[in-house]
Amino acid sequence: MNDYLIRDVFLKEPKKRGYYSHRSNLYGKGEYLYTIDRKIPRENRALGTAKHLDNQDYRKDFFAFTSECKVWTQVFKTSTLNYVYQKQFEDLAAKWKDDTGALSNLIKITKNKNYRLIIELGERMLPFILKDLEKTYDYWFTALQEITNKNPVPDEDFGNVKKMTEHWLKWGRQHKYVS
Amino acid sequence: MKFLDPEIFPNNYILAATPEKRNEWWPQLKDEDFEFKSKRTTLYNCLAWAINNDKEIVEMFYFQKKHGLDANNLDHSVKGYAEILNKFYGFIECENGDYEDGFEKIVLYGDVHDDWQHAARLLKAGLWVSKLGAWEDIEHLNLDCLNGEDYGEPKVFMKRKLNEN
Repeated sequence: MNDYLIRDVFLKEPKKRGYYSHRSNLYGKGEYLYTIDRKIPRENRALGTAKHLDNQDYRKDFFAFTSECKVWTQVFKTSTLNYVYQKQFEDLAAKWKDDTGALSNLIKITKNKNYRLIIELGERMLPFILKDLEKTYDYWFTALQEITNKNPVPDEDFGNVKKMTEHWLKWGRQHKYVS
Repeated sequence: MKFLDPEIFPNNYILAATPEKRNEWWPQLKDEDFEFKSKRTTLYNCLAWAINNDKEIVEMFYFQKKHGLDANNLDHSVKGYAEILNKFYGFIECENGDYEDGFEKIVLYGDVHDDWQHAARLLKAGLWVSKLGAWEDIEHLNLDCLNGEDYGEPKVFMKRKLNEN
């Protein structure tokens, strides 16, 4: 038989009780999670040869794959959370607009409980607030100021909703909350 | 009065101030007493509209920024608003909302705590214009039709000579 059996083993960290590799007899209980068998031609098995180095890429690929899995898991978690945050925002914003749509008194408008809840949710609400502001010109300025503790609107532009919106969107782009 | 002017409102326009909401906010506002005059917008508010400004939101924080008022000592009552409108905009208090030739008149609404809530402008004898918060502008035949828990009631009438400020 010309082929030489290589068994790649990957350490499992941390060890967990009762979590054994099916190769546990060979490698010890719980020390390895992944084992991959592959056949390498005899002539390529010598250490230090170019072919041997190629073989090491196989291991790199495996780690690349597991890393990618972790990345996608994170992406999934992030997008799920974003969806939840977006729904939270849409729900609270709709209630706020319904409750305060006919008001002009800014104190009453910004003291509304749904508006306060959005502020309490904090920085995660910023992308949604800025998008809604750009679309509707609704009075999100107090929420933005309270969440960020910043005020990019100069006094001379206060009251001019279009200009105030422009200032906040510029700030949002600079801080990567909107594209 | 015409309810919805087709020259202003397209066929598919959806009112912000729906009948249900109108009934909830202003139970005394009857369909025959008012007419919608503009689409919904958040670019200006009732007080801005009352003083002929359709570019800004005008209220106490606006006055504070524009006229350098002390932020820790703002008076949000109807009286506080009347003082500022007098000092910076040339309005003087008057007794009623009757039409006077050569003057423009506004009215400030206040709630039970005397906090300012709304403003309307007299367009001509017996006809007022109001911007309903972020919702549409209306022309209405009397002032009491907007009375309620949210707007309160008309508290202070003010006037200034036309073509001033």
